[in-house]
Amino acid sequence: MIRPVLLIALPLFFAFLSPIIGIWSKKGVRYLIIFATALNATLAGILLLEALQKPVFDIIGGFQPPLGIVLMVGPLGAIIAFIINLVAFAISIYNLKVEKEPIVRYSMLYLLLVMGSTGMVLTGDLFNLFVFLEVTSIASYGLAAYNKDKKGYLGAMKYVIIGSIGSTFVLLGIALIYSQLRTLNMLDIAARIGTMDPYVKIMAFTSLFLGFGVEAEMFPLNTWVPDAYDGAPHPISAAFASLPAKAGVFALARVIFTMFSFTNFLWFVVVMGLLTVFFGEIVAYTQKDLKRMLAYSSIGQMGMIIMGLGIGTTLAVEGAFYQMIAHALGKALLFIAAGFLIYAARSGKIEDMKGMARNPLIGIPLLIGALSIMGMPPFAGFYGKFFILMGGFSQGYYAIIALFLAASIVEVAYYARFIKIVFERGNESKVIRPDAATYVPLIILAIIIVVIGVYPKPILTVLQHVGTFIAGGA
Amino acid sequence: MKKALAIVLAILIFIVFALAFVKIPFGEKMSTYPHYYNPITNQTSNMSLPQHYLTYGKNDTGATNMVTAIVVDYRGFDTLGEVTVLFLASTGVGSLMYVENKVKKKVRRSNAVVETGSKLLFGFIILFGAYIFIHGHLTPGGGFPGGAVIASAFLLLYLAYPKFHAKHEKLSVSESIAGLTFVIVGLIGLIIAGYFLYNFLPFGLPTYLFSAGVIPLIYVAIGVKVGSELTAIVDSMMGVRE
Amino acid sequence: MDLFTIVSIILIIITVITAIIAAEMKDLLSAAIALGIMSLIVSILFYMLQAPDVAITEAAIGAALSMAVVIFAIRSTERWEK
Repeated sequence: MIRPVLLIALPLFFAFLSPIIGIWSKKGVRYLIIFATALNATLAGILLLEALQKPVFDIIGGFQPPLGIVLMVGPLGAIIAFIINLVAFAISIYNLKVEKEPIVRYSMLYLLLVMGSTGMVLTGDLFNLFVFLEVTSIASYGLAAYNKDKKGYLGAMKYVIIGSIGSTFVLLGIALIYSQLRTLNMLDIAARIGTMDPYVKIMAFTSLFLGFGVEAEMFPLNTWVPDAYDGAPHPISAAFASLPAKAGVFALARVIFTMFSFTNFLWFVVVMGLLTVFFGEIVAYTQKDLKRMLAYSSIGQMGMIIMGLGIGTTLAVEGAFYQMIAHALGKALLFIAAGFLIYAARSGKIEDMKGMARNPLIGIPLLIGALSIMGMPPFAGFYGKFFILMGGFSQGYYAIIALFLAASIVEVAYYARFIKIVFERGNESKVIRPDAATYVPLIILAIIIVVIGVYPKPILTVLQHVGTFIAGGA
Repeated sequence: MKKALAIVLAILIFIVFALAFVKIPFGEKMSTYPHYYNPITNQTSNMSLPQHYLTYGKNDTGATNMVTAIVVDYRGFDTLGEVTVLFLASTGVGSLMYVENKVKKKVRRSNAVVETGSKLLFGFIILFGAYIFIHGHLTPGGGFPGGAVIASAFLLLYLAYPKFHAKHEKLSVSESIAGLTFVIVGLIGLIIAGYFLYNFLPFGLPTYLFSAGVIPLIYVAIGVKVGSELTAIVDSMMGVRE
Repeated sequence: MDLFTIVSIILIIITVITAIIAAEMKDLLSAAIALGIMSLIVSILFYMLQAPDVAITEAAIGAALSMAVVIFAIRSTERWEK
């Protein structure tokens, strides 16, 4: 039996240990981080199997829930934690390509970023969620500026300002809830949410929604996204798209379903989601820079997830979760590939990358990732979009579906343009072979995308529990 | 124009939140608070959460300072997170201020009064900081303020002796060891009692220095950690001097 | 109105004024000092509201350390905001 707290305690232990190891061997710290994330992914996998039987509650400090903190892991939380740690493991291999000093500090920040995102997913306590949000965002600020160039500082500075506004909103929301209910446990809040004053309740919901919306890249709060993704080291761009963003959107789901128990159509959330989708996809179409294009595409995808959560039917939320999984895998893959392409072309512009992906070790995973993000049938990304669409369709929101499809077509257009350029003939002399630290994570991620796309049954079995999640369960 | 818009927005946000905060009871009797509900055992308690902390806190944790009881024991996991936040901040500052070829800045000596004064005061400030965190479970204060006081003693040294330079390796080793202590105490609790961060030591007599189980141990670790982290931040910000 | 209320109202007004000064000053050093004064007064307010633990922390971190860090940061750029 695996205790969920180990997923948080062990990375912390390794992170605190790494400065001591770093005195003797910097290389040792890099491999320690890979080991730690691999261990975490394994533990998360075992935890998922356990959580499928029944939700796991881990009481911390021996005090019963509203008194102390409790970790609450249902099947959905477990699978998101598993995917986060799996992707973190793949990216930690790619981390070997980072040369810039101080590498020990970089590794610690990365491991704690993983820990914070995992904690946000596992926790069952509102204030604890805020603490992990802080851990995640402060680790991200440090990593976003790690390159120490103008782009990095600009992105990190924007992220710091918007991120701290978001954290303040979360804290205000928590203060409002605590002042009325005198509790911080999510299930306790859910049980007594009806006794709150309606105005305070709406204000608390709005504050929490906007606050977590910063991490979830929601429309008016996502101006940091392109700059931070663009300025960060390549592995960190991949990590941003798949770790804090997924944890943030899961926190949103917790706020909407577990705590505030909204079960039907939430127009506010859907409108925000749609605006996010449109903003992301249309701006992405105009981008000439590869990493910025991927960042805007990431915004669009996050918008789809938020929309799925807002539609609120079982099918749509199932789609949103499938999309979270597919996007975490696909976008991490694309950012790693982008890192290689930028290295090979010595430029971030898409037009300079003619034929750079013609080496099969990089080309095939890149193609799989792009097709999956576009939502092509045999790959993982298809089911997410399909379920969100069907969820909206069954409720008769035809206008929303039409807009959603239009945005998807824009997405297909710019990915197709990108693929056409990187696979173009000519320029064969310049094509270089990626090394193991690049293609191993790419292949790992590509295999998972194909497997869960062709054989989605295990994921669908887990996602069957969406019904209980919407009803306010773990 | 831009400024006017910003002011209008700020006032709007203020009004919207003020309307919500007006509804918060301030200084109300604790007996009127809503009672808490345990979602695992499915029972509603006969008192509110703050009431429980004040009534049973001493028995549950052995600490006489209720703030410490809540910060280190009831919600110790949050404190572990907050310590990590500070660790991240110091690591982040360290990684941003890291330069490969250090340019040494020329500095002047400060005057004799400051030098002698800080020499005299340094020991006392350190002692006071250590007092704050060692007695955290008995009197107001604890690891965070104690660590901050210790860091301010080092700040005094930096101001009085411009060439003073704390060894970064030593600072990072002391903060790692303090952090490891916190996590290991938590893991020992997990092994002994099945709960992470369980207070596994005997509580002893309340108001005595050696009481409240693991709380003093954790607070000493936090104090050392916060002190060395804040010193490291100040040191990174000062840069290299000649 | 008793003394407690009067004193706290005066302190709150000073807090707001110093906060506005900190935001509006073109001289960054003065802005940093205003911020330090604000933290000190907030810590007095915390103490008056019977939260000595928070007051100690706020005094040590807000008034001393964070101000020092801000001043070090100003020293490595320019003193006047453009």
